[in-house]
Amino acid sequence: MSSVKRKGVRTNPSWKTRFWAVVRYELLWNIRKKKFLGMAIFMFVIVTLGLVLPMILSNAVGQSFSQNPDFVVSSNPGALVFFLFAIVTVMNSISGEFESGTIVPLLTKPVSRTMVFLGKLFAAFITLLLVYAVLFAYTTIGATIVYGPQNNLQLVPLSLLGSILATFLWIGIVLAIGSLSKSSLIAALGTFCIFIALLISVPIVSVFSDQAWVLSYVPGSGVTGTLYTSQNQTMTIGKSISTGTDNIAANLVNYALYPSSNVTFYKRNPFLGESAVLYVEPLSLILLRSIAVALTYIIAFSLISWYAFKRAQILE
Amino acid sequence: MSELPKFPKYLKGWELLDIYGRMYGMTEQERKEQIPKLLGMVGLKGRERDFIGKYSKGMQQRLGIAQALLNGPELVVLDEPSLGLDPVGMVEVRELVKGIAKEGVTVFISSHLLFEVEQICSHVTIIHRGVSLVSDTLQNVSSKFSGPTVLLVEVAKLSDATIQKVKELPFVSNVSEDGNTLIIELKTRDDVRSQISQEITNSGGVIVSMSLKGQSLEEVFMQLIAKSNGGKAE
Repeated sequence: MSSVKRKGVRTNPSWKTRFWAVVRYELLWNIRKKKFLGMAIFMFVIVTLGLVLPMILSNAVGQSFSQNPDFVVSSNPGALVFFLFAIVTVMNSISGEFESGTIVPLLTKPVSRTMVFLGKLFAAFITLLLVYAVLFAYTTIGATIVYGPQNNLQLVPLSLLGSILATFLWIGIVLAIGSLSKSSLIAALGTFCIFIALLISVPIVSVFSDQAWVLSYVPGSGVTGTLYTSQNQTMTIGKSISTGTDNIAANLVNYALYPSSNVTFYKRNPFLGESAVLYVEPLSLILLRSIAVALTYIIAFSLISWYAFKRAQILE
Repeated sequence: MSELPKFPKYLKGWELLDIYGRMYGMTEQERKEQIPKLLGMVGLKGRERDFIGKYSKGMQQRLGIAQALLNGPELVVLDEPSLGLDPVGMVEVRELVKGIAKEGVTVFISSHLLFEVEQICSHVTIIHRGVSLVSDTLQNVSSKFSGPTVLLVEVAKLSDATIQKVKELPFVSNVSEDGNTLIIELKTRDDVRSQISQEITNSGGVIVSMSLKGQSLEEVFMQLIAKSNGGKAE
């Protein structure tokens, strides 16, 4: 038997060293999860189809396929993508530790629960940053090949940042439910229920409440308005945009392109479409409000989940 | 180390030790030196690049012992180290623990498997309903509660010279005869059968059989429990 090196009293390692060890621990888990890998592959398939399908369909019906230099800046991941990535990244980050019992040996090491929690949150950020960066890079390269040279590629990092922020809101919800219930299944199902409930109720409420301002404060998508981007001699070009946290990425790009523009919100009639003007808001306000709402939710849900994790009893 | 430690299945054996080493603040050099040594010591060399999910219970238990030794502790606390293991795994863990103790590390074992405690430990503390009933060396506990260890040796051609030679051995407290059988009371709980065997053979005796008679720790435990319960064993 080889000898065990005995160090005697070891000085406490720095907070940073231990924190990075937790991040490494979590990161290895994240990138090896089958559901995460499956989701990433699925997204690559979706992006590929989004790139090539219009070209294939155009050729099939004999139409000429036109170049689109704004493909990259106009395409952003949707609410479903943010929700699904949040689920696959953190649904068992905390609850899974309790379910499998791996929390026991982890907490016998010189790491606090707060450090573990922050490490897991930071690892989720790195994971999303990596996967979104690769997806955006893939979209950019693909769009350049299929749709020709792209405009405003300097705005892609903004889109990336907005997407991470939107996903983090859902991550906060998943973590909070997971920490409270200590069940990955309940975390995933609970978040799914919230997502579906908002997805169905927000458009209905917006029709009947004349696009009530309160809808811009719920997680996900808010109310829908029209951003008038330019005006020539014959017509005004309008672009439909939505408020809400899921649209931060798109609105960041819109704001960078049209910084002083306003968004007009119309009364929506399910049968007649948009009719009378309800109110007008500057795009800057919509964007700032969405970011503030997202950050508030992220902080609130993170605090709930941190508190639940800190107080959780560990039973073997 | 807790009983049946559960480690993340998605990590490889060496990755787990590497991450825990970082948490302990070990330098890269220290991790590079210590991790292969520990993996070799617990018999996981060659399997360190496998995911922990592919490890057997015994291997996970041994990995648990390795991670407990990672930062070179002077005291290792093991909770039921053999729980849930097959007989081979139990023997492996037992030998491993003995090896760690030989390295100079104090090993504190909490176990309900008293035959295992008897084989591994030098000191025992018996706790019943949260009260320490006895705490001493294994030898003292056994002799205090069960009397001396007795060795029964059936000898062909038994002579007075043989009896005298055995009596003179420093670890023998008393020798009596029952036909061809020598009843040797020992002062020690160490395994001294080879020395006695050699002495008998050298003095012309031929050993037919040899057996150790003495109460096991389990029996001592039951006696103590009965005593603490006013004579009733639970």
